[in-house]
Formats: sequence, C-alpha cells, structure tokens
Amino acid sequence: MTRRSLIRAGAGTTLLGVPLVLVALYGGLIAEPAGKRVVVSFLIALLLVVAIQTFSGNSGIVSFGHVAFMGVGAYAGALLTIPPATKASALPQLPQALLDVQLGLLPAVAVATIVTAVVAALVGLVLTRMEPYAMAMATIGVLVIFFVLFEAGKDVTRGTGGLYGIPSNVTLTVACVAAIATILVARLFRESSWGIKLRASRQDALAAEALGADVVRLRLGAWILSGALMGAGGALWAQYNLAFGPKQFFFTQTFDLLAMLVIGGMTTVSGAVAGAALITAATQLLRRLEGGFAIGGVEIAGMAGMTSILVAVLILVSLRARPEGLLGTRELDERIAIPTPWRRKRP
Amino acid sequence: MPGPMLAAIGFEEAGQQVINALSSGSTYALLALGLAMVFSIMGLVNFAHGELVTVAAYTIYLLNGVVPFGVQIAAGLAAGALVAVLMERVAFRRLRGASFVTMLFATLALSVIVQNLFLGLVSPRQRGVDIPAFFDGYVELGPFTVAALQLYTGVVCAIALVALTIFMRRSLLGLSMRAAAQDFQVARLMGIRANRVIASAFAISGLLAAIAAVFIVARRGTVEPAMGFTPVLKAFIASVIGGLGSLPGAVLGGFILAAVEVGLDATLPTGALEYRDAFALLIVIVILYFRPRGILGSKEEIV
Repeated sequence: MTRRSLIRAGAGTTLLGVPLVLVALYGGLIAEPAGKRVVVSFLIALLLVVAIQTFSGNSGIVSFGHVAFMGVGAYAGALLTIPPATKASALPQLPQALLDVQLGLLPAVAVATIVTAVVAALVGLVLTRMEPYAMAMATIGVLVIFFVLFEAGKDVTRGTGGLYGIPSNVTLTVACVAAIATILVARLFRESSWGIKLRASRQDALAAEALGADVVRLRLGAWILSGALMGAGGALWAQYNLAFGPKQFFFTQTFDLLAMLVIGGMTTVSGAVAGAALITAATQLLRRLEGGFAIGGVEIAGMAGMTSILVAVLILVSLRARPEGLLGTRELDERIAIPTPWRRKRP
Repeated sequence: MPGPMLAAIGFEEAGQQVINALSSGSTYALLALGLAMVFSIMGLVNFAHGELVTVAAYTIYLLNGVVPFGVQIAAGLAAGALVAVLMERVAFRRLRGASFVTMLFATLALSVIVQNLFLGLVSPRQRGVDIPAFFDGYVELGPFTVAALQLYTGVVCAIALVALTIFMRRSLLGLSMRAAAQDFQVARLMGIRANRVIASAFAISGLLAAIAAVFIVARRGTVEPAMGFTPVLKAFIASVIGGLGSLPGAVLGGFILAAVEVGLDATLPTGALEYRDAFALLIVIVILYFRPRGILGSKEEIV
C-alpha cells in the first residue's frame, strides 16, 4: 500500500465515521430505547451493505447470494453462543463438542467469520470462473440453495422454527465500532493494488487481463473478503436480534440490502453508507405515517404495507433521477481536494 | 411372473412422471416465454412478471361468483395484458438504456409495490377461490390416468405456443418484434416504432402470464399477495437455462426444469426430498458454468 492510498482510505473512513459516531452518540445519549434500536439496526445494516459493496462495487458484478453468507455467519455465531442448556433441549442432535461450547462475543464472531470465509471460498472457486453475467445469475442459485439448506438442515438450524436463546451481546458501541472497522477494511481494499486492479477489470476486463491482471483471482479474493465481512455482520446481526429463522436470509433481506447499495451508488463505499442512511431514514419516517395522517386538513387513512410501497416508489424515483446512485462514481474524499504535499513536483 | 409386471408398473409410472413434467413444464414455459420476450427486446429482466400472475389471479378472485367463470378468465387475461403495458409505461419507459442492475431494481421495486397493494387493499392472508367442477376429475388416456387440470394445462399451453409462433413469424408486428430483438437500433432505423414494439412485447408477456395464472389458481384454489414469487423464480431459472432472450430457449428451459424437478422427485430418497430445490439449482449452476449463455442463448454480450 502506498502512503497516498493509505491516506485516501483514512480520510474516507474519517469522513464517513464521524457522522456515524454522532448518530451513535445521539442513539446512546438522547434517543428513547426504540430510537436506540433503530440506530443499532442501521449500523448493522450499513455494515452488511458495505460488505456487499466490497465485492459488487469493485468487480461490477451484482451478487444476490451474499445474504446466504450472512446466514452462515449468523448460524455459526449463534450456535457458539447459545447456552449449552438451551442447546441441549432445542438441538439434541448437535455433535457433543458444539453442544458444550459457549464462547463470548469476540471469539464467536471471529470463528463465524473464518467459517464463512471458508464457505465463501468454496462457492467462489466455482462462481468466479464464470462470465460476469452467468455469475450474477448463479448467485441467485446460491441464495436459494443456502435457504433450502437452512430450512432442511433441522438438526443444526431447527429449520423454519429458527434458533432462539442467543445471549444479547451487541451494544451500540460494538455496532458502531464494527461498522466503522468494516468501512476501513472496505476502503483499504478499494485503495490497495488488488482493489485498483479489480476496479480496472470492472471497467474493461479484457484490457485488465491484457495488462497482466489475473481477473479470476482478483474476483475470488474480493469474493472471499466480502463473504467473510458478511459472515461477521451476520454473526453480529444474530447477537442483536436474538432469534431468527431461514426466511430472514432470503429474497426480502437481499432486496432490502441491495436497494440501499444501488440507491446510494454501488461503486463507492460512501454510496453504500449514504444508501443505508437514506433508506433507514425514509423507512422510519414513513412508518410513523402508516397509521394514517392528515395533509392540509384531509385525513389520509393508513394502510398495511404502505411503508414498503412508498420506499419502493422512492427507489423507482431515485433510480430514474440518478441511475448511477446518489453519490455517483466518486468517493466523498475524492470530491474534496486533499492537500498532497508528498507528491513530487513535476520537473 | 414378477418381471414383466414390474416392467409394466415401471412403464406406467414413467409415463405418469412424463405427464407431470409436461404439465408443470408448460406452465414454466409460458412464464419464461414472457420474460424472454421482454428481455430480448429491451434487455430487462422483469422480476415484476410474477405480479402479473397475481393481478390476473386477483381479478378472477374479485369477480368470483359475480360473473360466469369464462368471463372471469377473460377479465383476468385482459387485466394481465393491461397491467403489463401499464408497468412499462409508468415505470420502465424512462429507464430504457439504463444499466442492467438499475432496470432490474426498478422491476423488483415495482413487484414490492404491487404485492403490498394487494396486501393492504385486499388482505395479507390467503383467500379461497371457487373453481368450477369442470377442472376436477380425471381423464383416461390409454394406460394413463391424467388429471383434467393437467390435460387442460398442456393443451392450452400448446395452443398458445403454436399461436405465438405463427404470430411472431407471419404478422407484421411479430416480425418487427423479432427484428427489434435482433438489433433494436437498426430496427428503429428501418422505421419500426420502438414504443409500439415494446408495448406489444409487454402486452403479450402479460397475456401469457395471465394464461399461466388461470391454471395456477385452479391448482391452488386460493390467491395471496406473494403468490407470483415462486412461479417467476422458476420461470427465471428456466429462461436462464435455455438462454435469456431466446424464445425457443425459454420453452426448452421450462421443460428441462420441470423434467429435472420431476426426475429428482422420483429418484431422491425420502430424506433428501426437502433438498430438491437445492439440487435443481445446483444443476442450473452447472449448466451456467459450461454454457454461460444458456443452452440456446446468443453469444452476444448482455450486461
């Protein structure tokens, strides 16, 4: 990593991290418990969106399958933290070693991340060899395959019944630190030579290959990193939601996360963060209106599902106005001139 | 003499499985064909295609018991075609030429809107639909017993496929649609009206989805807001197998998917049946690995 790219990554992370810390402070000091919940959920969603961005943004290949890795991380993390007594009654078929183990938050997330990275590597070995278009289609297959595994692997996942009894480990501080750390990892990867070559292959895969880039290997690396981040995010998500089932790792979740990414702008980390913030804010605002409201004295009756409808309309309008996403194709720090005294003057 | 008897049972069972595959394959083919039509002309994978099934199904549900079943079906078909054209006009027209992902997301957003409209305005729960006795019962076809519904599905789909082929090969509109699918820009230079061709493609895809919807409703006997999801997912998989954008490919893919599903149903041990869809999609990934553009897909860059 050159000094210049380190500074870029640092500046970008600071620019995004400071507002996040402010939001977290608001959530911790001022907001009511419900508001605090929203802030934590927002930070975890943001982490997941940035994780997807690490692969899709740099390679230009949309993945519909990443939520499967979120699921792998969530199940792995949950199985390592649920108290043995609960596991013995809920999942008697588990191997003895898994039944007895109970880890704290950090080791559990670490193991979940490694497990997910291995799973992502196995999937990626096949997928990254495919053409971009075929790969995007195949990721839909990955999503469905893992959903079926989660639902049918009852001995480990309890099937549609879902897992419960996960200890509440994720606090506001944990979520905020994890989100900012993920942003830093994503930016470091983006600015690394690996990330730059991968972004070159996004622009023109043939040209990048002609210049000596091994595009398949670049994609595989980003895929594994992105999958591992997704696993970590999934583990944290589970330690905050405390109970979950296979349905939470299927198309609805995929649509929700990818919508944030596409609205904000897939090619940048800033876009991923902005998209997550915008959709969360819009959803919260609209949910208040779902019960019915009045405009200029006209009563408008509430309707179930109205929040989803209006968020979807917002997505449509935003895609029309800015097809490349709200933040376009440049990071926030790339829009601000950063003094560069270390650059040699041209002769 | 157990040998010949077993063979006879084997033969009849195999025949029964073929009939099952043909019947569900023809529904997949109708839906996949609609997806392929729109994709071939404007490069858009319409994930709101399943909602056209839902619209047609709810039209039948809302008119259920009010008018004769034939009128319900006619209204359902009209609603499917009309809503498809409306979708294009309202949501997709402005996005023409946008990136593949942008357009895909527009269709996903639209599908969320339609689903939630039914959820909010009708009910989030399943609602029963009265299906005429005409659809029940069985027909003896040589050594096989075929459910009447399966027979109707197969026959109607076959008629629709033949009619569509004639339309696409003989009529001026059909020819212009095929020209537009080959090369949209050049077709426009030859004086083919873009809006008309695209609107027709959506209308036909809506009509095909509505035809499939009639059989889906007749089989389920209920409607619910998310009922379009599974059919469109299968149709999407079918058209990917056959080659997105290829009309014969969509039909072929529909039947291959149905054959794979029925084959897995018949051969997987009972304990593994829950994993059927995982196996089916694994096979799809293998096909994509070796034939990235699907079995009959074009060599052109799509994304």
